[in-house]
Amino acid sequence: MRTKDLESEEAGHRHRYLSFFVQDEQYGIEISHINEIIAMMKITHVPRTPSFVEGVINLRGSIIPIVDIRGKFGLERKEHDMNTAIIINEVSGVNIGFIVDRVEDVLTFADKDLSEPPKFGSHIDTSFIQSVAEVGSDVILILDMEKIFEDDELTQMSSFEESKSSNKIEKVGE
Amino acid sequence: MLIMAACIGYIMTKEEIRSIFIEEATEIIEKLDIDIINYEEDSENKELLNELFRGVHTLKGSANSFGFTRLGGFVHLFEDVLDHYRDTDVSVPAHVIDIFLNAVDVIKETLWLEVNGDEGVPPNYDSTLESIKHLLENKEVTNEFVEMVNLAEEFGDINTTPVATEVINQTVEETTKPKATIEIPVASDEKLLYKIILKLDNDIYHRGYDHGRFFQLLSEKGNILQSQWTLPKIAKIENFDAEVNYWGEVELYLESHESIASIEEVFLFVEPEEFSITLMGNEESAQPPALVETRSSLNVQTAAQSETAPSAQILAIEKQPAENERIESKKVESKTIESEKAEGEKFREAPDADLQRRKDDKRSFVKIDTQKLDELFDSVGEMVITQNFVAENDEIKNLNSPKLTRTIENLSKITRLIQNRVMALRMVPVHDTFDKMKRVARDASRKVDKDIELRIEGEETEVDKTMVDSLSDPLIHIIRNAIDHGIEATAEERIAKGKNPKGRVLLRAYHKAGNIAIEVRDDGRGINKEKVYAKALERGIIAKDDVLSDQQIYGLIMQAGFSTADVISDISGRGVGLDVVRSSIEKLQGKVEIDSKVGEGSVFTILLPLTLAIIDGMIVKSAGDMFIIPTLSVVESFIPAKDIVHTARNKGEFVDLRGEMIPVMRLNEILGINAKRPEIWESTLICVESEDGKYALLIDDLVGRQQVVIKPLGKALAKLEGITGGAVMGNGDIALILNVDALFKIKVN
Repeated sequence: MRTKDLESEEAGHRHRYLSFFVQDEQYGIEISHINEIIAMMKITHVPRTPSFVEGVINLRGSIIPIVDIRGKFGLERKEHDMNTAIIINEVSGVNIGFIVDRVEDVLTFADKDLSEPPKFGSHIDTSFIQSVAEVGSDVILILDMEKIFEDDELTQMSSFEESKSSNKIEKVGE
Repeated sequence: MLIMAACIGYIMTKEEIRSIFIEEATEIIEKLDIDIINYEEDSENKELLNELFRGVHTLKGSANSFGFTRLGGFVHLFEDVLDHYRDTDVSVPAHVIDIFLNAVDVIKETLWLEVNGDEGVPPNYDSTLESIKHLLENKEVTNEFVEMVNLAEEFGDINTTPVATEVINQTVEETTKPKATIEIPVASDEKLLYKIILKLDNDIYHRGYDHGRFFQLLSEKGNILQSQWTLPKIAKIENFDAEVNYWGEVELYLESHESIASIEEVFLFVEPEEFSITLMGNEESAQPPALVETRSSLNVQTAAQSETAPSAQILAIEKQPAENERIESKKVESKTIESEKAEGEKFREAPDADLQRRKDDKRSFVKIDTQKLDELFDSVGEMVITQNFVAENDEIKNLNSPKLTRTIENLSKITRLIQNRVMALRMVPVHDTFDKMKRVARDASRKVDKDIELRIEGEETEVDKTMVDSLSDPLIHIIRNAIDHGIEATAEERIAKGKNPKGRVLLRAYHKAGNIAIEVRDDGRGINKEKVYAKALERGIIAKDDVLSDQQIYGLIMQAGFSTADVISDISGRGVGLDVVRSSIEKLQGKVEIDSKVGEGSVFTILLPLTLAIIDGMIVKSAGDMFIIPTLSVVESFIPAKDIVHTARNKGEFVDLRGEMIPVMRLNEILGINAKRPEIWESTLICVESEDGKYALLIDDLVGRQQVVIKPLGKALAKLEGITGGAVMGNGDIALILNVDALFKIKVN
């Protein structure tokens, strides 16, 4: 595994990424948007949300929605264990937490280490894969968090009802 | 304020300064409106004019410093007019008040043009500017100057002072106020020239001093070459108080061998802000003395002028508090009108004392970003929860230590105290918002040509800051509505009904059962219930077999698209805009109630939670999860007897509550939590009032009633229907807050 280049990262196009595992696959996200990593805690279920929305947690007084990345990727649910972690990530100015199987390391990549995401079909939707990094024999998929939590996808299940009652929305919005 | 902000310790960006300017300018302009209206009511009160002048002056300064010349130029002339009126005893006539108000409107619009960087001027800019110029040209010259001169001569001590020279010009300037041209005297060989400015407080005589005493002491140190006396304000002869110092600034030049420290000794016993000593440039003293000798008249300088007094050769300016005072006086705004009026009464005879007083009882204010308050609030909430953990911890309890128990009790007491205080930080009185309504009422009554009196009560009632900001628009709507349509069209119509010809509108704030009520009550013709009902039926807003309470019928006029032009009033559509009122109040978690009696008037009551951050809620359990129903929407809760439960084919389940058939909705079904269907008579029902009428929410259990802090679920979940937010409970768990209106709609859809 590549060692951390703490000093040189500021120079040139080098970025730091947090790597984590979901279903034996290694992913990375740019570290600048991560606020913190916390252990699994009590999640309050929120009704009328898509199944990948686990609910909300109370993080020191703030309520933060939690997404299970397995659900989002269409993977099977897994029992939470001691490695399960919640990564609190800031997406478009809003904190969202997502559950991963295991947090691995902080890595530094220069732009040249990154390549375009594969175009071929995989068992996951590739639209939110920003790029791919190779570390030895391992492949790390760098995720674009903005894409994953685009718009108000967390309430998509109720969106068809909203269009039905659009009169009401207009009224309130006035 | 701009200056102060820059001193805080970091360099502010232009953007930040600009936003401070906008915020301040808006604040000042709002206050201008209020001051003008208050002055119209109480035209004796010169202090209000002074207040007005100060606001305009500050605005002029900051506008010019931003290069907002359109605004600056306009405000400058406006300031001149105000200055004229505050210096005369003539009260401002009604048509001039109108010009003032127009001017404030123009200022408002010009500000936004400037801020947005748009070209041009507002439509009324030129015409209002013309009227102002006209005022400046035509104002009558009063005879007060004669009085001033006479009074000044009566000051015996002036003549007895050993003054070498007095520069006195017989210029009585009013409008144009050119810079006073005063030659600076020159000290004779080897002597130092000092410029001394005396600004003795008006109580100086009581402190055993007068100007004469200082002149005497100074002439022991050297020669006084020249003195210039400013007499900005003086009481009329009937109010004249011989024990009050009316002299403003006295500027004198002293030539002396003594050091500056030695000269300062003379002023050992007066306040540092009452004098300033400046050593003048030495190159001047090389020139031959050219003393000016004029002794026949008096230079009347205004305060504005003295600011621009010649200062080219001044090396160091010491103790110049003029600008600071202005800033300070602006900050003392949180007083009620009453006290301001009283103050005005008291200090009309001694205007300088007012400034001094304001300085003395100045309270310092800090502007805080509400976001920072919210963060503090969050942290305190967490502290309360953590403290609860400690208090409930079994291990600690098992220690059975009375000392520890007492400490923990103390801790919880302090924690709650902190929580309450942090909460109180968000609360501000509705006073400012109510004041704004005076202008609204005045404009509206002018427009429809009705004689209206707006009374205000309970303006000291405090509400959440964020709520105050969004309260203005709904209130404007309701008040306009009351004046436009509530009050009878003509005084004759009112007299015929045995009412006072003057229409009365009462704006009142008070606490009502844990909520804040803001009431707009008019004594007009009231709302015709039957006509509203018929109209709603015609429009298809209600169905024929709908049973509506009076409240609900009145509520119909706040439905969108409920134009009632031909129904309630003969003028034009009451109801226009009222749906906006309802929706904006609902956004604040509040509701609007309407009550009315035909011929006697109507009451619009806005009910708001004490603060936006906290609601009073019923905590309920459904399918194992906790939910909160705002108590404001709860009518009652009950466990129904089996015989009042009915199931209507295709229409769902109902309970017969004292003869009223109320639909039952199962919370777990609406939210899709599970599909369990317990018997209604074995469950708890919460009867709630939604905008579509009453319904009973079926829940598993009623846990209790509690005040909870509302937390948003975040933007990602903001559009979630039926849930307005979450609350962190005492044990750290989250309970979701339900919106009964939206729940009903989910069910219907």
